Amino acid sequence: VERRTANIGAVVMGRNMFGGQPGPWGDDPWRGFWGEDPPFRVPVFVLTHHAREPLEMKGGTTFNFVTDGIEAALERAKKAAGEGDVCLAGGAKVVQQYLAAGLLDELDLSVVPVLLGGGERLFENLGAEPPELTLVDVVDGPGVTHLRYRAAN
Amino acid sequence: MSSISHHTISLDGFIAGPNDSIDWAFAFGEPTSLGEETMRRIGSIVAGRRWYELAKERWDGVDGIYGGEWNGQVFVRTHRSAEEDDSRISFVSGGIEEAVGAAQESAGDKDVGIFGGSLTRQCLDAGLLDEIVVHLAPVLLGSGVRLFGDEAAVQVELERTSVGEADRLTDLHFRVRS
Repeated sequence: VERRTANIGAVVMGRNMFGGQPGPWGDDPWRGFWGEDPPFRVPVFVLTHHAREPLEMKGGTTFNFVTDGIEAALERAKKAAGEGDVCLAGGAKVVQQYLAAGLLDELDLSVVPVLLGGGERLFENLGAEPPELTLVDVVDGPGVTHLRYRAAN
Repeated sequence: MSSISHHTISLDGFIAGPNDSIDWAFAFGEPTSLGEETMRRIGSIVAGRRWYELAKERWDGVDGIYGGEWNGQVFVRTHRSAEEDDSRISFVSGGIEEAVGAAQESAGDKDVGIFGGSLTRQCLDAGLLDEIVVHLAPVLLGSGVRLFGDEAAVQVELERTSVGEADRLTDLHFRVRS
């Protein structure tokens, strides 16, 4: 897992993942779940319908708010990452949109041994032709199974 | 003696795709060592009516199970009896306890295989499932029959007891925590 995160040069996430109430940002806007020194330490691109100035945090994290769609966000994140990878941090709806659009290259999953019985599914709304996958790596963690797949788009 | 839910599943959790298709499940290589071990452990099988109809129609009935490598009795849970010449198939019209009990008796020292998403869910809800064996296939089917149903009342804790890589499948063995 550490090996996977070492090369991340930018992060894309959905509005719910960033947090704050849905809708306009308001006068005293939410600054994320992670305090003043978030763990990302790279540019983060937050998908939202509500425009906002970039928010520079301590430690190298800058939250950029993207209002023109998933492709534009990925474009900007790739540019910011340079040689590095772009990490799609979720949530599920954002992953589904990128998967359905054929814009996701790799899937890193951690399978936890519990059946929840309900809730939000990662794999839904994948469109008529979900991408083909190739299993790349299986790592047997303590109780958790880490799986890595490559998606052929 | 254990009851074991044994399936090949897609990464998005389906045991059958649209139109009950299972052809996809054979595209990822030969049966794995966990698969063969599980097959050898299973003495009899509990399946649902849907499995029965499809198995008769498309998969050579009992002969289609595990590619013809397996021998034993199949207990089909159904409220409607059917004309059946194959003595290896028994119909059980009672509850899930009755079906699993009959299969256990028939299996002797061996274990009971649970086939089907609905049956797996019913066994979980009734506290009758001991183990879950899945061969996870690197494919997203998008729709079909889910192994663990659509919604369930309770959360079920599992213990992952082994993981293995075999060709393109990932073997996962779980024990149900009671």
